[in-house]
Amino acid sequence: MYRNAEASGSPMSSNDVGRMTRLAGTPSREPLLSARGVTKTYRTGTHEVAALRGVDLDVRAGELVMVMGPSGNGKTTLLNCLSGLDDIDAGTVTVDGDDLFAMSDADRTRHRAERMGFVFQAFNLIPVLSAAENVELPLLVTGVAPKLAREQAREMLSRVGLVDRADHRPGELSGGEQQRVTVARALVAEPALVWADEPTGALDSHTAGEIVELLHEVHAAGQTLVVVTHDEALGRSGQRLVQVRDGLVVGDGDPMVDELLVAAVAVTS
Amino acid sequence: MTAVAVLAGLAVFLLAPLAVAAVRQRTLVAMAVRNIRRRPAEAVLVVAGALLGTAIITSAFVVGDVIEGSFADVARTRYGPVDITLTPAEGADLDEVTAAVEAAQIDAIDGLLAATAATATLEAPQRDAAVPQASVVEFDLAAARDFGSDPRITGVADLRVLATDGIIVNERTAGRLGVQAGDTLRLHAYDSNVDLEVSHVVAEVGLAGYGGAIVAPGTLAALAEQAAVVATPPRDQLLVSLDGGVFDTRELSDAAVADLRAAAADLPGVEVEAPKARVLDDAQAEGAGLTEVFSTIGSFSVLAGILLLVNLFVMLAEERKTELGMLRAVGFTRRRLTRAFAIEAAVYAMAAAAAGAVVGIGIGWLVAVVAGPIFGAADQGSGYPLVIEPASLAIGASTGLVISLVTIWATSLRIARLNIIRAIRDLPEPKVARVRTRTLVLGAVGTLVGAAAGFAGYLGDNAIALCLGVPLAAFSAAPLLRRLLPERTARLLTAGTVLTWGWQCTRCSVTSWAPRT
Repeated sequence: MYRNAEASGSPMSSNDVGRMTRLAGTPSREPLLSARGVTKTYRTGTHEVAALRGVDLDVRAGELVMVMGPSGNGKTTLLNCLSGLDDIDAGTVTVDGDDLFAMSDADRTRHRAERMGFVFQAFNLIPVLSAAENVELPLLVTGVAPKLAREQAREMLSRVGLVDRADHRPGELSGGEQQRVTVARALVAEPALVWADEPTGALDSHTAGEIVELLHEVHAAGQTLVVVTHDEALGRSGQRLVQVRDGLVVGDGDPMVDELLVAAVAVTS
Repeated sequence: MTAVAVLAGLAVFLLAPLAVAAVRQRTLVAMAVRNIRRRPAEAVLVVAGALLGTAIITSAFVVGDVIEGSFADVARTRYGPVDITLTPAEGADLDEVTAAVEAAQIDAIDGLLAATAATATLEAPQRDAAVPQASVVEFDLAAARDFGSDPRITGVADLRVLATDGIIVNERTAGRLGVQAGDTLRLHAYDSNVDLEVSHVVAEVGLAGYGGAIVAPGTLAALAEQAAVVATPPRDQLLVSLDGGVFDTRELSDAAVADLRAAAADLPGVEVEAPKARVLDDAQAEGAGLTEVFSTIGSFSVLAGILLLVNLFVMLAEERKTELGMLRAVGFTRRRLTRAFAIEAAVYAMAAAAAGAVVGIGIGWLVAVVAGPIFGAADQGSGYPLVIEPASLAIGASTGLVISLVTIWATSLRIARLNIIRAIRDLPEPKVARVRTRTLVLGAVGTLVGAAAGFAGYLGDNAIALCLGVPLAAFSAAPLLRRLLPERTARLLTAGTVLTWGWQCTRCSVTSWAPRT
C-alpha cells in the first residue's frame, strides 16, 4: 500500500536518493541514535519511581527496532526520553551526533521537528484540521512554504493510500485511516527516525495488520523506526528486538532467535 | 486622548506578534477559528465571561459621562448663549458698562444683551398655586432673538411680541403653577403686585431658562417705583455671549472674563461672572468624581473578571491538552504554541472588548439613573441624557482589551510550559509539594509592590491605588504564607483579607462621596 517517492511518480528529493542508497535494508555501522546511562525517575510528592535506570542503546540508520517488555517497566518512558519528548535525570542521548539534552528546549523542539516523527496509540490528530492540514504541520513548523507543504502533505497521503480523504477531518475517518494519517504526518518531513508507541494498540486485528504492513513498507523504503509494542506479531517482525524490564534493557538481538522471542513474549504476557 | 493613545499602543503591542503569526501561519488562524466554531455555546460563554472587565470599566466612564451630561445640560437649559454676566453695583449705569465693553472690542464676544432680573413670587389665582423666589427677567425680545450667533439656543427665537401686560413662562414654571397660555398670573414684588396674562409657555432653554418668567421691559422697575422701601432693587445685567454654541465656549471664557474685567476696571463695582463655565466645570468635576468612585468599586469586579478569564483559558487549554501536547511533539516550540493559543484567545478578547463596551453603556446608564438622585443630578431636572464620550468608550474598550490580552499572554505562556507526555496522555499535573523559590521571590516582590501602592495611595489620597494595593499584597503574600501555614489556611486568610477589604472599599467609596447640594 505504501508507495515510495519513485513509485508514486513524483521526483525523488536528494534526501530520498541518499537515504535509499544508504539504507535499503542494510543498517549502517554508525549509530543514528546513541543513548548512554539514561536514567529517569518520576516523583509524585515524596514517592519516587525509577522508570529508567541507566539505559544504554544504539539505533543505526535503517533499522527497524521493536521494543517490548511488561507494562510499567519503562518501554514508553524509554521512547519519550530518547526522543527528547521528556527530560532525563542523567545520561546522554545523541542523534546524528547532536546531544539532545545539551540543547535548549526550543532547539530540541526544532531538532525534533526536523529529525523525528511520531506515531502514537491514540492517533493524536488535531480534530479541527483536515487530514492534509494535520500532515503538513511538521513541514510548516520547519519553515516549508505553505503551498509546498500542502503539496507534500497530499503526496504523503497518496503514499499511504488516503489522498481521497485529504480534506476530511479526523472525526470523519476510521481508526485505521486516522493511524495512516498519523504515519503520513510522521514521515512527511523525511525524518531520520520515526518513533511509534503502540501504533496498533487502539485498532482491531485486521486494521492493526494493515498498519503493521504499512510500517514494514515504510521501513523497506529506508526509514529508521523504533516501535514500542505489546503486539507479538509486530514484535516478531522487526530486525531487532529490545527487551525492557524494570527500567533496564535486558535483551537486545534478533527476534528470530527463539529464546529471546519466547522470553519477550513471556514477559509481555 | 493621551490615555487612549497609550492604551491603543499597548493593545497594538500585544496584538502585533499575534497578527504577524496569523499572517505567516494561516494554519494557526484556521485552528483558532475552527476551535471557536466547534463549540459555539462555549465560545459565547467565554466571551460573556471575558467581557465583564470591559463592561465594568466602560460603565464607570459612562456613569461619569451621563451624570456630567445631566449637570452640564443646565448650561443649555438655563444659560444657552449667556456665558458671562456683568452686574453693575447699585446705582451704576448699565449703559456705561455696555459702552465700555463695546469699546474694548473683545474678539471672543459675539453678542451683548441688556437685561434686568429680580426675584419675585408668581401666583396663579385660579389654580391656588404659587412659586415663591421665582427668577423673573425682562429684556427686549427682538434683541434677545439676535443675541449670540445661534438663535436656536436662545429659547426665544420664535417669540415675536410681548405686550406690556404679558408674561412668558417656561415649562417648568408653568408646570409648577398649572397654567397655560391665556391664563392670568399675579406677579408679587416690592410689596406690590400686577396681573399679567401668560402669552407663551416655552421650553426651558437658553434665555427662557435664565429666568423662570420673562416680562416686558419696565415691568419690574414700575413695581419697584411703587414701593416705599426697596431692599433689593431689580438688578441690571449685561449678558455676554461668546463665539460658539452652548458647550464649546468654555475655553474662551477665562480670557474673556479677564478682558471684561479690564474693560470695566474704571467703572466702580462691576461684578463679572461666568456662570456657564462654572456649571460646566462643576459638571466635569462631578462626572470625574463619579467615574473614580465607580472605577474603584468596579476594580474589584475587574480583578474577579481577570481571575475568571484565567480560569476560562485554563479550562480551554485543559480541554485541548492532548492537542496542545501533540503540537509540541510535532515541533511547535513553546513560543509558537503560546501564539497559537493566544490567537484564539485574542479573537475572544476582541469580541469581548466590543461587546463589553456596548454592555457597559447599558450598565452605566442604568447605574446613572439609579444613582443619579443620590448625587443630586435629579434636582437639575434635565434628566439623564445618554451622553457617551467617544474617549470614554475607547478607554473602556481598550482597557478591557489590554487587560484581556495581558491575561491571555500570561496564561498562554503558562500553558505552553506543559509537559508534552502528560499532555498527550492526558495525565494530571503532579501536585507541587513545595513552593518554588521563583514563586516565593515573585510573591515577595508582589507583596512589596502592593504594600507600596497601598501606602502611596493612602498618603496621596488615591483611592484606586489604596484599594488595589492591599489585595495585590495579600494575593502575593499567599505563597509566603504557605511556608508558615497549612495551604488551606493560607488561602482562606488571603481570600478573607481581599474580600473584607473589597467590601470596606466599596462602602467607603459610596459613603465618602458627598451628595451634591
